[in-house]
Amino acid sequence: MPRETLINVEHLYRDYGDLHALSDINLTLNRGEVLGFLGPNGAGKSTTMQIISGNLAPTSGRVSINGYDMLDEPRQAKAAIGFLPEQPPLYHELTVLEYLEYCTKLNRIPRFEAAKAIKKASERCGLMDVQKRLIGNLSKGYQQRVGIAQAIIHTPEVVILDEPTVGLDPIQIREIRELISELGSDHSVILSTHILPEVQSTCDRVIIINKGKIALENSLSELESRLQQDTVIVSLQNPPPIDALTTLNGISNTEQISKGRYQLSCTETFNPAEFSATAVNSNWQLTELTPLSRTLEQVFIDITCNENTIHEPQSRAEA
Amino acid sequence: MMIFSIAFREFRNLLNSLLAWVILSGVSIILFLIFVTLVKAYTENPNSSMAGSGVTSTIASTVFYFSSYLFILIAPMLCMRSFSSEFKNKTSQLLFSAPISMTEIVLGKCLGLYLFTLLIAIIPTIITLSLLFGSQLDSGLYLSSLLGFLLVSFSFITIGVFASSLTEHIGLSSLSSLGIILALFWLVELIGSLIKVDSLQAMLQYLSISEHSAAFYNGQINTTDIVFFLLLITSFIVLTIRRLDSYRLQH
Repeated sequence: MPRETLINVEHLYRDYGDLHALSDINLTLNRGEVLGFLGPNGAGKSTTMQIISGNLAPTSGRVSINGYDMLDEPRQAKAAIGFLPEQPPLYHELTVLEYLEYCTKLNRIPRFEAAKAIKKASERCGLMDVQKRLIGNLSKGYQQRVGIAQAIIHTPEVVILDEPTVGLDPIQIREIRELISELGSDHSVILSTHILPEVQSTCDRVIIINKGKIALENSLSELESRLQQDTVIVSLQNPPPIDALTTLNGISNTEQISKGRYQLSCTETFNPAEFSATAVNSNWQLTELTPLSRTLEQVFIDITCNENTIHEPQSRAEA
Repeated sequence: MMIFSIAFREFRNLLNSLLAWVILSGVSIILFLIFVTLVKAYTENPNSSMAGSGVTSTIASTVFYFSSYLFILIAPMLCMRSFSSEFKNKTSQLLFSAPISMTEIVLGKCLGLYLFTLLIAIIPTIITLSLLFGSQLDSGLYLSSLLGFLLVSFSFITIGVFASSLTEHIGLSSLSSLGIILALFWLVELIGSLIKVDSLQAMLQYLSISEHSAAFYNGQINTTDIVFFLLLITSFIVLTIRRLDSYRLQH
């Protein structure tokens, strides 16, 4: 089945005066895909979201949504998008119901379908009990849900969520994440965040952006294979000279962490069983053999802090 | 359709705000006091300085004339929130990411505020219509005064909407609309009278709102005046649309 491209962003640049907020951003989003958009604060996540949603004009570059160019045919392009900005665009003096009614009108939902659309969005976001309450009096978590309900009320092809779980408590975060995964089943979703577990739990594909440039673009499964173990920590009570360890099969480098404790950088041929057999035979008195797997967090930190050290995993114990 | 939804929302927002009700009651009190004063002066001395002119001209037109003066202050207050607070609360993003054009957004906002202006216009209308209990009204003069008042207040409102699209600070937006209104109402005329160059003087005076509204209160409806107000309103609507389009560019 050919994958249908819903969002196509080409060579996007955006300057704020002398500051280059974005340079040469390219991205595509296919139907039914959940794309995680990762980056530290100030990397350009929100700017990109704002441009894709048509709130901000790019300095140069093209955004097309569902085949419609954002600048040439903004109405058709915007109709295919539901956008939840970083700060949900809520009128605090309205009730949830009044607000959602206004949203159905803004999104040109016919009057006879409006009630159904409101009911469906409210049910999905768990808002049925608060319909009559003023938005200003709701908790932050509920306000966020109203924001999401607003973004999905016209069942757009693409839902863009800019940091949807910021400022929520752990239970609310879990609920929102469940909601996002659920949305992924019938909408395409772009999710921007700097919270990594969020990406691991919900996204199919990840784009890491740093200083306005795309630093990494991978499917989550590819990314996870990158995270596989390539470092082992061993503790030996009767250690051999450090060079003796390095000459073993499958070990490319050895570093001493503390007395009798070593960090081994391994190649693919490394076999822990073989290593422990050698250790027993040589009477090194092995007391610890811990594989270290890189977390997404480390990949993220490597990429965003120092792109040169990407292949040198750090020990958690040191951190 | 879309314009009306936004207009209705804007109108409802005003009705939900305390400010609008304070304005409504303030206008009622002030216009009532002016009306009573005018009626008292007229009944005590019907034949003095106003010789030849009837109640419609001395009382009704004057009440509308004062109402338009009040709008110099009312319009900035009514309009200051229209775009500024949307920018401030980021609710503008809801409008900008919805499938609506900037033109529809601006027209909707203005229409909502015009609707509220009509609500305010009911006050001087009712007050002056009470003259019918003891007198007759010159319906032509009366309607032309009402039309003059509406055109002036709609222009002020449009200027206020434009000023509000300039900034997210409510105070700054009301101040700048007050500034523009005052400048166009009589400052240009004042400056014009100081300048001795005839052509420049005529041009500046031609731009003055008070100059163009004066005839309406005398019962004259000039096409030039009507065209002037329609042009004024249209230009500020276009300026607001341009302003919002450029808002997406800079930020």
